[in-house]
Amino acid sequence: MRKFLTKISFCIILFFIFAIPLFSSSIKYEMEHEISGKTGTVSGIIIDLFNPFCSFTDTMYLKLFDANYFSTFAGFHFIQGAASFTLSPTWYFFKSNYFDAGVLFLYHFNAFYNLAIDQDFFYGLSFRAGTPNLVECLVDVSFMQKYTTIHSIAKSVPFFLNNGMAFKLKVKKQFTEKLTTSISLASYDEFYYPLFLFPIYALCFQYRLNEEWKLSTELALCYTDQFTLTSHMNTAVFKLGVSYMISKEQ
Amino acid sequence: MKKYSLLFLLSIFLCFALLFTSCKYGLEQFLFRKYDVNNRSTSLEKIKSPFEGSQPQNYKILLLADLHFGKGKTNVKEKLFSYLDELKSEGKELPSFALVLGDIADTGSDFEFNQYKILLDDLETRYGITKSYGIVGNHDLYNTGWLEWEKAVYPHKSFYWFSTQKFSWYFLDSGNGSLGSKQLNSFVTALKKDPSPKFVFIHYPLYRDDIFYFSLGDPRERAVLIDACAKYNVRAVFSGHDHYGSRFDYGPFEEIGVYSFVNNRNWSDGSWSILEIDETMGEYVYTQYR
Repeated sequence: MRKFLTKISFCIILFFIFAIPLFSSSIKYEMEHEISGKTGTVSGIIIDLFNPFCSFTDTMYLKLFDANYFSTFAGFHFIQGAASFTLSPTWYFFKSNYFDAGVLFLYHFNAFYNLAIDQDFFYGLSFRAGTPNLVECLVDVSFMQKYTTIHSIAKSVPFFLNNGMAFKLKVKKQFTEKLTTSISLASYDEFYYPLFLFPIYALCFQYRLNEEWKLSTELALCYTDQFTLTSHMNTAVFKLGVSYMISKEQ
Repeated sequence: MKKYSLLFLLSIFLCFALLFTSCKYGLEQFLFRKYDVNNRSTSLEKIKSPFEGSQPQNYKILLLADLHFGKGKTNVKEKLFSYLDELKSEGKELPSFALVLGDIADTGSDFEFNQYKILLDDLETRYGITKSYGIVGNHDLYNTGWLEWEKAVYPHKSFYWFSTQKFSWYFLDSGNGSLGSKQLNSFVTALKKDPSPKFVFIHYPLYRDDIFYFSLGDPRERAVLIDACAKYNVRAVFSGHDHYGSRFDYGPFEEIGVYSFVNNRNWSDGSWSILEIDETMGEYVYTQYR
């Protein structure tokens, strides 16, 4: 199961990287891919020891005909006992130097081996305001649907549905040409989708080595139910990442 | 300009600080709590059965949830006493013991837990209900309420179990919206070892229809818990927290949401429930009263 998911994950990421150049030779476009590999540890829930993970992601930024701006996040995540996949396309219908507005969709598939399958759907809005040198604020707000199938009761209950909401608030500042820092408060992470409101507080540093290569590190603290305000810090996640940028223009 | 920006930021920070410290729910603890679930509930403890000596084959249990003493809401105490008086006068069987599914206090203060003690004294002196078992709710933990809960609520621990002739009874600590890794692992291990039919009592629902809050929110924890209940002979899970009880059939077991003792959106004067147990047949009947 795990080997199969790993192979599929690489195939899908390769497809996203090469789809536009291969299939659209006649259209005018600008495209950037940020391909990342991340690793780190999760400490807390279920396994009380440091639990290593790895993830592979591709974030594609595509501008067609000097007008519409489209971005897609696709990635896979592997951790002991689970594998997950996230695909999130966002279309920015309004774009300027200081403000962008767009609509987003997100699909997340998570398989807990021999236990359950989670699928999350987001339908939302995404905004960006500010400039990288001063400060950039990124906000998204979504309607969230979570479908959960637990194998041991699937004959009686094929799935549970939770309708909810999700948000992310991220403040980003580029301190130098090479160093960018961001802090965020969100009700979800790239590969973690709890019910509202199990918030995640994250601090992230990105260091650009050159035009292509970037290093990143992130510390995320995941709290339990802060809707009722008796939460506690349930999980700490430490991430280390390396990214490679591919730019292509036609 | 920079000076004004700094003053502006400082004033926002002070406003938030004042807001957090003035709230009766102790919002200053929202990022750090000294007695969290991983400290409170590290191991499952077995306690004595409520029955000393011979164990009855049929008996009743009084179930209460979300009492919120100190909230200032009306509750169903007088109606409960009338019901128990009626049972007594008709010579019918009274509940043998009581189970309280959390949120006993509203803000975690000793005054609120004293009101709970008064209720228990009344149940004991008027109806002979000498034992009451409690579990922790999120409201009990406000303002470091755990210390008061631990003093006031029997059996003075938040993660425990006991057994009767046929059934095992498990009580979980979900006051922080999560069982935490230690408690979850201990609980699943205990379920695996214990072949008896089981009842589980927890404040947070495992699943409450399609509501996105008021239930356990971590997807993995929820799946592990439901899977374990389905596999290891759990008959029913009883939960509180959302005040609006409902029943959900998982197939191998069911979840029963117990209505609140205080007034709620549906019933202006709250509710209590009776659980009737037949040890010979291994059956139970749940009834809601108001």
